[in-house]
Amino acid sequence: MSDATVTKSSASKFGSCKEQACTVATDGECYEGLSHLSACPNYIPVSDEDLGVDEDFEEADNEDAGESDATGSFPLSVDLYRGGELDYTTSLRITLSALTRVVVLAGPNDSGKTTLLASIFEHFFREPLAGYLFAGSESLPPFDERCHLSRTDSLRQTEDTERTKSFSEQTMLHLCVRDEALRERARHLLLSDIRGELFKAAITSKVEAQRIKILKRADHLSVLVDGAQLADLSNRNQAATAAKMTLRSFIEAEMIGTRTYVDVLFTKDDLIQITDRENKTTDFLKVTEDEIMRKHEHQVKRLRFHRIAVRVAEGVRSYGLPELFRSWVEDSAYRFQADEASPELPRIITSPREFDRFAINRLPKRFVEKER
Amino acid sequence: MTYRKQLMIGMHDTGKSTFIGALYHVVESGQVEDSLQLVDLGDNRAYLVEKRDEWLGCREIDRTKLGEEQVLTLKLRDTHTGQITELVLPDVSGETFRDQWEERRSTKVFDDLARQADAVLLFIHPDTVKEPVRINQNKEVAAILEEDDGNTAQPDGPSPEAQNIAQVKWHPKFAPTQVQLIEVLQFLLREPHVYSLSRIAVIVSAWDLVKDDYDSPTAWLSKRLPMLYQFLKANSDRISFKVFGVSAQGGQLGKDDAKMLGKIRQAERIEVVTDRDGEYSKHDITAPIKWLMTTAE
Repeated sequence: MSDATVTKSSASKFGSCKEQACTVATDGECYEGLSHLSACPNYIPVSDEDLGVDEDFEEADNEDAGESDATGSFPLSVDLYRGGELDYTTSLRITLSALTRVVVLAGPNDSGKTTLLASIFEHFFREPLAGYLFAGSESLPPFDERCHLSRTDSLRQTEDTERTKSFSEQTMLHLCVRDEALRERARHLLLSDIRGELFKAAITSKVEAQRIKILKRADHLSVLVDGAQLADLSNRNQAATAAKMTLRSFIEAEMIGTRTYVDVLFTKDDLIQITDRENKTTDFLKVTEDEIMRKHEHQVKRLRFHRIAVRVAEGVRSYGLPELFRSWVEDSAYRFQADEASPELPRIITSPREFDRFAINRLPKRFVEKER
Repeated sequence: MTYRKQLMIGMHDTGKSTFIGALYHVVESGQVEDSLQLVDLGDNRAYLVEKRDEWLGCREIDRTKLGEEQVLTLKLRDTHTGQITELVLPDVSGETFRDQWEERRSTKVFDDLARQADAVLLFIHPDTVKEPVRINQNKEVAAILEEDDGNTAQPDGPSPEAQNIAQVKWHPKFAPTQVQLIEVLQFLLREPHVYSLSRIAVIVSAWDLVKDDYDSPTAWLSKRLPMLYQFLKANSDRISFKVFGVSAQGGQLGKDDAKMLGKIRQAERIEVVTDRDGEYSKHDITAPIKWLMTTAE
């Protein structure tokens, strides 16, 4: 629970939106379909003035809290943390307090980014994943929402995954896991859920590539290639080229480099296999892998290729997810340095807070200021 | 005398009120030798008397509604050590926890109680667990049933594409029980740690309904709610937990009434088990409270 913010639970105004077509002011529903209104850049939250609440009135309310409680007519409530998607700022609380692996999933629409996220979450409903227990998440509602269209509650006939709604380049979901033997401390992961359009734009412009700032902090970049496209002769060349261009674009924009673990994921492999022999898709993928390897192997920390199928048709087993997930949790350039017993790198402080200034002044070997 | 405050957490219809009725009977009557015993009746006991009465009469126990929360205070003596503990046990409505998950808010009353508590009784009822059902999973079952019926004909009706249009938007209420419970616990464990909880007793209510299918209460939890079990295990160095199977009613109302009412000692309707046979007296419904009190010291 957050610091106790005492509010009247009867307040029901929704706020407003800069977007004229949005009906949030009347029904509380976001035009873009965002479940958490604060994530919308156009949303204007309701103010005390709108509510007709002035400070004196609020104070009087708080003083009367006990009485109101007793009658039950005006139950006082405490706001809890929202548990929504995280952005760069809201994720700082996690990244600054614990060693966190940042994983960016890149790929065009329908390549399977959100499905991969949902599958990770769903896996924990059955058992630990790759030897890791579910240890918590600050993003439970968005994780669960991403599973919805694959569940009977959605009243659909076939499984699907909702397209990513957020327009932010930094949208992330948080997950905390711990090894089954409980030998090590819990580990935090931030998994990106960024719209495919932004990656498409990143192929065409360096500026667009640099907009996805979270890449700078990424331990892992997974480039997803839609298996449905790869299985189709008329689309596979464009799909593979887009993946190559995505990678090259991020390297040239210096968003990733020799600290970044890169995985190229050929998703929906169950679909690839249907036409594999006829279309010689495996041979095509081999050539694609060789080309990418030759160009970029030495520009990143590690480059690997996986064929995965995480949400498969009835009666088929999914595969590829545990190996990938284990790598995300365990592999990091930062850990590699520690293993080699190299001197610990000083922590870079970017915040202007007095507390952090104090750390830089008193412990200059351990904390350094970010170059301006 | 020591002072303990324990929280009761659970969605609606998970057996919290039944537990209260049976608990009050056991601690007041002294029918279970090893159980905690009530030192004095105390004031403001109307609610406890009412719940016990309903329990003794095998009547459906009214569940606690939002705004009708009761803070129960019991002065209890440990029959082995003689130690006296004042136990404060808030009976909070299941809607409180539903609102925590769905509306992201809690009542001020609960928040104040939580800040003073050091342990949690977490109630789960096997019949009210909502599990996620995948569409493909459902289809597999339907196909098996069709095969069994010898019916392989395609169903009539609109095409899958057409049917997919009629979909329901996600709402927090659709989330599986284990996701909702994990979040409720996370609210209490989250930094900056204004709550000082150190123990959780997981109560699998109506244990008699499932005991034949599972080796132990922990086996039930790990199989029916694997994600919650993983969460508790992964955080066990911050907050230790123990799983109890508790049959507070002692049977099904309306079906087993005669058997239950016929017990000479009504406390013998109750069944409490842990993973270890004989760890506590079979009818001692105070066992989870004792575990929370002793280990929290």
